[in-house]
Amino acid sequence: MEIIISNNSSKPIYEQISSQIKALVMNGKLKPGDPIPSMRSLAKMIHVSVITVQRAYEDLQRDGFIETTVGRGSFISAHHRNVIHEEHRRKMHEHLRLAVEAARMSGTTLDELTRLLVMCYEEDCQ
Amino acid sequence: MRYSLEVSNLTKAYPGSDFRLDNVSLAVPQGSIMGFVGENGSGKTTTISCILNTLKPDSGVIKIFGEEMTEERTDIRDHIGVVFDAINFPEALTANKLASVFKDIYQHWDGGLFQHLLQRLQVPADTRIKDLSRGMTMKLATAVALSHGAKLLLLDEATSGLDPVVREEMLDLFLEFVEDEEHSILISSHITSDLEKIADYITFIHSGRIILTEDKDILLYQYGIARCTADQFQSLDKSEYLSSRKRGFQVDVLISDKEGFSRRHRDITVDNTTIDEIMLLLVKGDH
Amino acid sequence: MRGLVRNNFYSMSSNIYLSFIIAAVLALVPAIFREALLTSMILAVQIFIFVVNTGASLRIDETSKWSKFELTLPIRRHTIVSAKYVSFAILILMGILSSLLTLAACYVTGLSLDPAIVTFSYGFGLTLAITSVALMYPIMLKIGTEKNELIVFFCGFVAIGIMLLLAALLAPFTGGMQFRHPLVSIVSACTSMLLFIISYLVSVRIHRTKEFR
Repeated sequence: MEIIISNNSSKPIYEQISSQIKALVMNGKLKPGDPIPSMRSLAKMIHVSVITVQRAYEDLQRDGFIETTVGRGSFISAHHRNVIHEEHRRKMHEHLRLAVEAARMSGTTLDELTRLLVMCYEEDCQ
Repeated sequence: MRYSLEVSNLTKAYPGSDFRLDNVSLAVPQGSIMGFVGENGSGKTTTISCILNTLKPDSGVIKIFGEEMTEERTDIRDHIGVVFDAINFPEALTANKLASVFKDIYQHWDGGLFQHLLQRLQVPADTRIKDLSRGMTMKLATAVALSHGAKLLLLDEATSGLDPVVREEMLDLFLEFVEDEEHSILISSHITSDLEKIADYITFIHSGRIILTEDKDILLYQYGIARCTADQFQSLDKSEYLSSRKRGFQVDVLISDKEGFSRRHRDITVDNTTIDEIMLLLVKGDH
Repeated sequence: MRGLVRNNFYSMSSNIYLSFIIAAVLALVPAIFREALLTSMILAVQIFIFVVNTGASLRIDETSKWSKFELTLPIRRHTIVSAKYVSFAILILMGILSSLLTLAACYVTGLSLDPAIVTFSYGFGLTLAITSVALMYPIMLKIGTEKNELIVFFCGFVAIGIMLLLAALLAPFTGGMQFRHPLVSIVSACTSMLLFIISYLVSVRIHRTKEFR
């Protein structure tokens, strides 16, 4: 499991960790039941503080991506399918909201925006 | 929550001097690393000395592993690793001679681990301590602190004077140390970038008083510095910020909730902050 | 305590070697020069020479903050003091042993020594050595090690002063004040040993509450 940390990013390190793990789950590199390193060993591996990894794991657990049992460690959750779906929907919603904001600011009508959406869905739009 | 170290209302005055520790309280949860930040003379060394009983507090309660460490409790000291901001050891000895001394003193001295650490930190084992550079002696002291089964490390400027390559190695050693969730570290340092990397909590001390203790991630990602014009600053409510400082045309304002503040004041730029900047604003700013 | 005593000797090892070399060279002098007063001075010096550097050694302990670090070890404070006194005693024993070299050299070269002179030499040497450390350590504990050379000299003078005092007190028994009378020598040596024990108890007391920054 490769986690790349950027120190210069404005994105908090715990977010970088949790979003990278989510990404690995969503594109299938981590499968349900796969073990992931304990908080403390991951902290040592990527040279960050334990509390940072702890926060990331708490977020992942809350969002249903991982399960942690005392004594057995942390694993990718078997119940995550719905959660991935949820995650994708959340992303979609977020992106659409940004598009709407941009549309409003540039005076684009809903019709024009919808046409743009259809174009993008049916082919790769630039 | 179990604490490796609890200091409650520690007070210590020096006769004939203005300096005193004033109601210093801090607590290091088990399994964590707490950074101790303060300028020279702020009381870091005095606090650590009181914890270790080399200085006698005027008042306050200090508990290590849940118990008060009195002079008789050699069993508790057996599990504390210490590095002071000094040479620490007799100058005429070599690292190997030191090992033969400590073998008979610490109950859980691990000679093999000590040799391994000396190699890892590149400390020559047969050179006299008086011929070692400051960086080398600090590395040696760290190796000793990690080689006798300690569960709590008290480090006073253990990484100062070391180059970045060596410091990185030391930080890795500290993270390895807390892989065991019963192990904890209290580390004072000027090199706040080191603390930003590995500390879980930061405690700020100034003029003998604790001015803030907080999660490191909260400090780095929820705290912020609002760059205000004089007018914008006037419009702020006192409850919205912790400290302010006039710098030329702008007023730098320390806030503890970046997101909330930004929502309320969309026109004010809010920057991410560092431990150094927080320290400066708390110490030099107006409250 | 074994570890601490070993540490004390590692710390002083170069001084001990130097003292030993000087003592060994001095051992040959009486056999060569065959003069009674010189012989007795050399015997006394050999006993004293091993403890001469303890003041400087204590100074270095303080500046390196080893005396502070020691307190964080899993040992009682009085163990630290005990280890010091055991070390002092061993140093004095080393002095005595090296003086035996002189006696051996004299015997081998057929120089016969007046027992009274030998008694005086040992009495003087032991009094000087034991009293010096007995006074020096607690004084340094109390006021610090900055003036360590001065303190060592001071203690030396006090030691001589004690012998003079005893010589005066014992005058009725020795037919007038006789600094070099065997009785004075023996009583001085015993007094200094008593001082050593009292000094230990006083040092434990002082060290118990001493603060180390």
